[in-house]
Amino acid sequence: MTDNHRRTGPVDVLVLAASAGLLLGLIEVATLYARLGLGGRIGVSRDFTWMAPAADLFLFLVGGGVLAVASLLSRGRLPYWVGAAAVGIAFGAGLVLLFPRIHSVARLIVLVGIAVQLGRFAAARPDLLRRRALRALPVLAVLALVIGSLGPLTRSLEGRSLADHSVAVSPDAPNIVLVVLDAVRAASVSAHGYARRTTPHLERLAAEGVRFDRAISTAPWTLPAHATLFTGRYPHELSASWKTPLDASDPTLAEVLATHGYATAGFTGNFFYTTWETGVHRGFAHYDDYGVTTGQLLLSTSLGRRLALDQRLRDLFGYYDNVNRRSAAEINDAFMGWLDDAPADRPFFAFLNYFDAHEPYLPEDPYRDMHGSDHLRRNELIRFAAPLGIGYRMFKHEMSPAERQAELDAYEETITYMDAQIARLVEELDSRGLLQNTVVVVTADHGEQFGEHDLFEHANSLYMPLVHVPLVIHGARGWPAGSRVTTAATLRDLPATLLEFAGIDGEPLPGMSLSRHWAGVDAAAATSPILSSVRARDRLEPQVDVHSLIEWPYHLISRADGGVELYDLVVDPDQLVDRSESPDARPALVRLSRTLSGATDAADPELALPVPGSE
Amino acid sequence: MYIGPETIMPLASALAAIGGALLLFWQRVVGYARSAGRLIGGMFTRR
Repeated sequence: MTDNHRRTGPVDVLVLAASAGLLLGLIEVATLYARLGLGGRIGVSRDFTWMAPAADLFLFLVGGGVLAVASLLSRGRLPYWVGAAAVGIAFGAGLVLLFPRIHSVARLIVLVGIAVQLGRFAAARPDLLRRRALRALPVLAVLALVIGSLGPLTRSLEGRSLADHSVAVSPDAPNIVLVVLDAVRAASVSAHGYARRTTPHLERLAAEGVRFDRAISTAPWTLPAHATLFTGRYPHELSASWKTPLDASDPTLAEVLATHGYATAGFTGNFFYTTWETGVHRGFAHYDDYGVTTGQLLLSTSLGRRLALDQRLRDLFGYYDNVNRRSAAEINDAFMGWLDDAPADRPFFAFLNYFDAHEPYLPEDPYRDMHGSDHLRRNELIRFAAPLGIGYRMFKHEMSPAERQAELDAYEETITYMDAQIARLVEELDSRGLLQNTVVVVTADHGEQFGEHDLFEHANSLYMPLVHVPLVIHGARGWPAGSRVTTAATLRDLPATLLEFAGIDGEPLPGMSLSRHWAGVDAAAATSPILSSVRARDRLEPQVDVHSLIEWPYHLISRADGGVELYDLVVDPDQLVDRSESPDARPALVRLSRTLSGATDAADPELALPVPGSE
Repeated sequence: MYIGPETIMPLASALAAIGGALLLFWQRVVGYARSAGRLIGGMFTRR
């Protein structure tokens, strides 16, 4: 064999890299299918069938390109086995990263072993390796194309079965757009009285519609809150929890509307707990969760995820956002794109989740630093934890008051950005001649904490910063424009309300329509229990199940370990004084405790809470 | 018998490490295996 056969040409290394990339991508697809088959959660888009091979091919071609340049610069003197070993290292890394729970030392041994064997083979039989790589490439490419089409094909078939337009639709049925501002608390929304003008556009919408100043979410975190928004059931009645998706036991709002002729579509920026794996997508003929973005492509591969979660790389580039975050503007664009092709003879139900207010708080320009405190922020303390890769600022309890205010300022800057996107959404609907026949609902799934009760973020309590959310309904026929409802309302009643807008009778979903506030009914008496719940979770708060009930002005919070708190929200809106031991509040405590115990007992006797004085 | 993550993960790591070591020293392992095979085969043919 001549010495030239042992040298690397640029084409040689690119072919080898492309083959290795496609092979790794196909192995990743097989691994993901295996995980799904075993009932695990994979946390990637349903388009992983083509995203993983495409992303791996891209990453390997980039690396291969570097080797090709090295080969050119060395005027062909680069040994073939060097290129092969480098490709082997990358391939081995991708392979071992598919199993993150294996010890890093073991992974390193496997990786080096693969590289050594590939390098030795390339050194001993370079022509054979070249031929095999060249022959494998078209086969792998065809396989990748065929398997890659499975994801989009499956989604298309699912969507078609839901988009059955044979059902007659009432000609008066309005379009419904449900905008959920993820992690936005009412206390930071000027449309509900906050002094800082965070939502001027929502204020205008509320002035033309109806605002509910005491809307209460049923859960302090995304999945159960959305599950309630879509089923009308309380979280303790549903399967949706930390590790379990929403099952198919109960019909969803989108399913009911779809069977009554609505075109249904969802566009969510929350790619953690509103994705296709969580079950909340059920009933939407079109469901856009992860989107097709460079960041999402990267996250579809083990190598990409490792790069995305690498703190040193993030510090090097000063990049602290989730790589696949989609802004409210992008969510709007996706919705408008779908609207371009939506059937014109059917009303539509669209669900939009804006994720910009969720940590890490990174407002877009020109909203960033609107409040002048950006220089106090310490984004280098943001960490991204596997497997979901959500970014959180660490050491919040050590923040100075000024730093804490800076975090709140950034959070509210994102709210102002989303408010502008709501305005853009409404303007776009108006310009298309749709606004007159569209009900726009703006609410949130839960709020956020900034040190209240020494707590931060969400999901860990049922205090008002987490459960008190905005709710504005615009365009509802027969509803008095500019009304302000101060009676406490639960988001559990929103699905029944939206079905009433759609003219669908028969109570297919539980709950009472919020229209009762104009129906001559004593709305305060005829109300669904204003219940909120959060289940216990591993290692983090809460460590036991917690439930709360609001019967204005009292807010009872009851823990399954017997802990009880009672607050008067009128005299103590910040919930600083626990009145559960106060003799004056005793009757309220007993009354609320019995109601709460009865309401949660109805679902599960084991959730029976201790009633003071009943021992 | 309960076999949970605290057992599976170290076991998987150990198996992966053994697999990796085999890859690293494959030629030597094959050589030793062939020598052992010849030795054992030789013992039977002498008889």
